[in-house]
Amino acid sequence: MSGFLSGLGVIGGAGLVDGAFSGMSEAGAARATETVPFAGVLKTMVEQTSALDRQAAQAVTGVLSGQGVDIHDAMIATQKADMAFQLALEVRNKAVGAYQQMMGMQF
Amino acid sequence: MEVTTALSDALGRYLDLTSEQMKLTASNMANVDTPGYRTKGFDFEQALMQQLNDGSTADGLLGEQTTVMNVGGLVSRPDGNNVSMDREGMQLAKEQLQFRFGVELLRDQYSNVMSAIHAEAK
Amino acid sequence: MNLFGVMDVSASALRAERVRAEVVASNMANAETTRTADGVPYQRHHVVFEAVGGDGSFQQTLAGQMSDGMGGLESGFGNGFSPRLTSGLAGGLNAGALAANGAPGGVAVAGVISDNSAPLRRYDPGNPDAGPDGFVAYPDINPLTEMVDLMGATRSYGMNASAVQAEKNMVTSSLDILK
Repeated sequence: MSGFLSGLGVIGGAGLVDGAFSGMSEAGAARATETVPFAGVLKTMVEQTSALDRQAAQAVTGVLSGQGVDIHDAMIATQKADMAFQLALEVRNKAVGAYQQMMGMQF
Repeated sequence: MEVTTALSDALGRYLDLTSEQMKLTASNMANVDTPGYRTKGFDFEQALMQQLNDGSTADGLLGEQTTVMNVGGLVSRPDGNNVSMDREGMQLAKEQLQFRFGVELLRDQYSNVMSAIHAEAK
Repeated sequence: MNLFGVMDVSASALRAERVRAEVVASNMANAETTRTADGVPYQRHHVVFEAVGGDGSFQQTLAGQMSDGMGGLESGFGNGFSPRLTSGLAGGLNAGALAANGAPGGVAVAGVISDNSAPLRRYDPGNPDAGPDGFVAYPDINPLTEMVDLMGATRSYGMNASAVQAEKNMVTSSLDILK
């Protein structure tokens, strides 16, 4: 999933859109989180999603290997990770759509 | 190209072992009246740990046989048979739930990957 | 303890109640047995249950079972496998001194005890097992007591089987979270 977002960063880094979608490259991210809140939000969403995903994988492995993890805990953790992923995906879709809309504007 | 996660591989092995266990349970239940038959089983957790740590065969197939042994702690009837219908019924119920659990999670894993593949900007 | 720890507890109860029912059946079948292989009248048996405690981590239970010793006809590892002497039903069920199945919070048969009460004596000089005084020693088994015991065992078995059904439903509905 981070592939999509770094693609966004490449386009931003080419300077086509000033600051709005400067995405995930290191220097760009630092600059963007100060000037534009949106890219920072997207970055934290990605990080939180992968953290939840790791937690869910841990819980499920705990259930599989017979350690004391309850099955409902594993289910809830998996569902949270799924929802976070879907949310991040939708936000990314909207962002790309908005960018394309802007690119289609005639001046 | 990595289209599966480590968790989906682990779930695949989990389902393999569960179906092995179910075969043994069916065999035990079928032999409840056989004189001299001893209940067979294997250590599920140990086998799963072994398979997960083995890790290298990525095709997910059951590479080697699980070590089947006689189950201890069961009472023998006078004809030498020690199959307990309670235990086998319980094993069957557990295995069904285990299988369903593995399938649900696997389906969930794959649907996540598929929605990422098919995601389109609107 | 594992995915279905709560079901193991009910499983141990089902096993114990079945042992109890089998002992009752053995008592009722041998209510008139004046001579066993030992030459004495049949002694009434009854089971003693004990709670098997423990906070049930897999490693702890496994370590506990392995240190219990391997002095049995069969031994194994993990869930419900434990060293135990097995013997035929006719000779009475001897569960040994070990916590038999080790499910945390479950129940185990601590032993099958022989009742040492005095046998019932009836006057019947024609019986081949009559003593020199003409009295024959019968086991002191009251069929009403045994029937009540059997009803208790049946009722407990049914309750635990319902508990298993409820537990299965709980696991199934937690699987539905992902739907």
